[in-house]
Amino acid sequence: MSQTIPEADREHYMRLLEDAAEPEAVDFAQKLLARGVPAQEVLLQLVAASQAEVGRRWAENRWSVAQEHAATHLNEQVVAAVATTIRPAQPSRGRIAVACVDGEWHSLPARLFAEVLRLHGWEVRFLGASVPGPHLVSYLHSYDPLALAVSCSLPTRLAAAKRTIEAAQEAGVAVLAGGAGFGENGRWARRLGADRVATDAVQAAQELAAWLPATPRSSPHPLLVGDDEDVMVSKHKQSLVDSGMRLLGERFPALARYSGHQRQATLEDLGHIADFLSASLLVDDAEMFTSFIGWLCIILESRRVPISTVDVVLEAYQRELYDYPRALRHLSAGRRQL
Amino acid sequence: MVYPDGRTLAAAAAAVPRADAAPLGDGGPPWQAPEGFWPGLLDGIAEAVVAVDLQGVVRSANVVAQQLLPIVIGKVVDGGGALPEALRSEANAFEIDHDDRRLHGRKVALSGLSVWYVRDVTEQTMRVDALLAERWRSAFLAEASRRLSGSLNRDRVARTATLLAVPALGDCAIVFLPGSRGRTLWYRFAGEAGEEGNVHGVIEAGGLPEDSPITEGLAGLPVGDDPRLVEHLRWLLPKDFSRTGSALLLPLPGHAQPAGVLAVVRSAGRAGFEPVEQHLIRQFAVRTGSAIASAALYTEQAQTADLLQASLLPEALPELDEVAFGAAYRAARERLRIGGDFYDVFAGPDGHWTFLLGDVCGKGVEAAVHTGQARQTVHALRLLESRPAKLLELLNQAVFSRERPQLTTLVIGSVRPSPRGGLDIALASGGHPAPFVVRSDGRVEEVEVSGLAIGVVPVATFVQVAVRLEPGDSLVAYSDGVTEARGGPTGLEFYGPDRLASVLANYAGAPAAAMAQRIEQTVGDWLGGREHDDIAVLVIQAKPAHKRRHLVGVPNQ
Repeated sequence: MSQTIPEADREHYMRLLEDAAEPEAVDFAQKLLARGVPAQEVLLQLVAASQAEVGRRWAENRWSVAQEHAATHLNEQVVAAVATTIRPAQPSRGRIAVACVDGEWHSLPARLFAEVLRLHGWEVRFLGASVPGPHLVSYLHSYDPLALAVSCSLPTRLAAAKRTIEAAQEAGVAVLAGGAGFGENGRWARRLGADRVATDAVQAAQELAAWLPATPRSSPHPLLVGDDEDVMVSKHKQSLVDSGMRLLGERFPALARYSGHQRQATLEDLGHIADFLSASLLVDDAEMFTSFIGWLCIILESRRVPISTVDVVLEAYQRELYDYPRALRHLSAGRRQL
Repeated sequence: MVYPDGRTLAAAAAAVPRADAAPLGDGGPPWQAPEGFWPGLLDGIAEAVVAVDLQGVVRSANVVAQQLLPIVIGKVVDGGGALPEALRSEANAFEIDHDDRRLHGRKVALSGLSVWYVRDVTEQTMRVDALLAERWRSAFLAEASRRLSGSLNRDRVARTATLLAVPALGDCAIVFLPGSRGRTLWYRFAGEAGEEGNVHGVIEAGGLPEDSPITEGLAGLPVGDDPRLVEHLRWLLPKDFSRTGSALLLPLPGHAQPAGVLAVVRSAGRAGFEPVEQHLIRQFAVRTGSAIASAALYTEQAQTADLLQASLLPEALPELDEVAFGAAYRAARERLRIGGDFYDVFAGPDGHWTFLLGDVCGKGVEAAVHTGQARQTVHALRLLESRPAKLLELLNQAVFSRERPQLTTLVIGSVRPSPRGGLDIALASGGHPAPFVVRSDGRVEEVEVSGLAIGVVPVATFVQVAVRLEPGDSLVAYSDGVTEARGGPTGLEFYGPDRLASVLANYAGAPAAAMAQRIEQTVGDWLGGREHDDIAVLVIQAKPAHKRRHLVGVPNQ
């Protein structure tokens, strides 16, 4: 996509995010609109692009999680302001529901997609972050949208995404899946049975007219892999984390001197490793696990945590999961990655 | 013919002991086939056997062959049609319909002749066809049941029914449903693709003639064979559906009253409805009717719940110059998104604002109804009284004027912008968890305020405390659904006030809405999908004097 918003403007906006200068950021976006910049470009080149930068700054430990959250909140306010400034006339196309899967709190990508759909004439209902399955199903029955666009930003929510996709299809509603959580080109969405995959908001908004109305996949999903290893890993997450902490304590005596906060962060990282293992087993793709391990190493390096700790954790998990052949394969692939 | 041991007739005949073969039995004279034995043997079998030479002349044929096939011994197999052509052909087998019979032929080359063994498989084929058809009908009904019962939306069920019916049952299907005020809704599918595939519309009251079979069907009258049926439906058929064949109209049985009417139309090229097909369509109509009736019932209940919910959900938070509000609300995991927690912010008569956050004992609709009562009562009382402690006292009295006083906990605060910047808050609590104050530098303090819950004793007095918020400070009120969320690694541990305080410390100075959202998120993660009570959070923040807010950087590790 060609950049119609000059670099200088985008940098200025980033500074406003950094300062959490809400009124100025909203004014700035509205000034761009007044200058004739299309709303879609404000949403994608300003908001979406800056949000990606926010994520990078957090990953590099330049921003705290609270700063990241404040900037995200500000971006949400800007999206709301753009949406009320540029309100398309009566929707000319059918109704589409947009929702984040249960446990998914990153609602900004879904919100941006909802607004892009609206700009393309669709009647959009944005159901928000972390929509519990029963609420979603009850909404689908009551309002009967042509399709449900389901957003998932983290692969660890794929099990919830799978349940959402199946529930919507069971209710007769076709599912469009999108978001970074579904992997490159949405490949995991296809594996989980989504009727269609959106990799680009604008392109998806344009293609929807030709696709809808659509009948969802009606045949029950074939089990991806029938061994339930993903379920077992997530069920025994706690004992995995415990075993990881034990082995870490043996190999790194410094762990005993960790502050409560550091200990908590370590526990969370161990939990994430277990969650990603479960997700990669669900879609049967070891690459998901290895790329997570790669990403985790970058995060840990920026926070000066030795990478060898990750290897110890994977080793502990291997010992614990000796009975699960696929989990062992994914863990070995993860260790090779280090 | 193939013998059980797999040999063909020719091979079996060749294996019959010849005269010069070794004697049989106890050494008597060798047996010799008498004159006429071999032709007789062939005549006795049920298969037609005919031998044709290279020129196409019939050299030999058993009785069955002469009856079944158009051949004469000594003459060339001639004439058109599939069968003579098959007998002359190079192929080694055929299956052909001839004179209403299904014939199966198999060729064996024998002494320079083509010997055809032809079997009448009519009955067998019919049995297999009938079995397949029956299997198809069962599978069709099973799939129809599954897809119809998946949705609880009447429109979608009606559309799904038309999609299922074409082309399985006919070439065009229309479902008619009774609408409000005498209207009739219709949904049509005629196999078209794309947006035009599913057409629907509304017939205004009186738009159908009195004697229309559709009107009669919707009224619950039996729909008999009506020769004018096609005429009644013609205007609803697609324009290119010019050559209409037979049509069938069936009522869709609902709960005690008809759920609608189904019309199935076939184009002229397709055979009419056989009895077995009519039976199938009736069974399909029963399933469709039952799904539509359930969906209608659900819709009615959902609409009631929506109305209730709309009246109970908190109104949008006001936007003020000096105060920023943020809130999060998550009802217990029930389909109805309403519950016993509530919060409200409203303007007082003299430039101050009143906020409240409370929790009515109980869950679901019953708690929600009491929530509504409590909120309405406070709304009325605030016109008379603005001091939080007094408001609680009046509310307690009001609750006791009802037959069954409902146990309720809540915090009420009155917010006033201070002339020297920041906010002055007067706060009172009726048995509710004490709110936190989050200072802009990251200090977190619990407000020391307590009191009896509302609805415990008829006459109660409450303590009022003063809280001062400097610019950038926040007051965070929450319900016990937050701190009593059970989850974490073991799934049994409470989220607890300490965890909440440490999350808040990291969010000092963040926008009020982001702070509320963060609490909702961390509690959600803590729960990890487990059941929980209603969760409500209300953040009241003194906006910084300068518009730019600088966050306190908190390192992660």
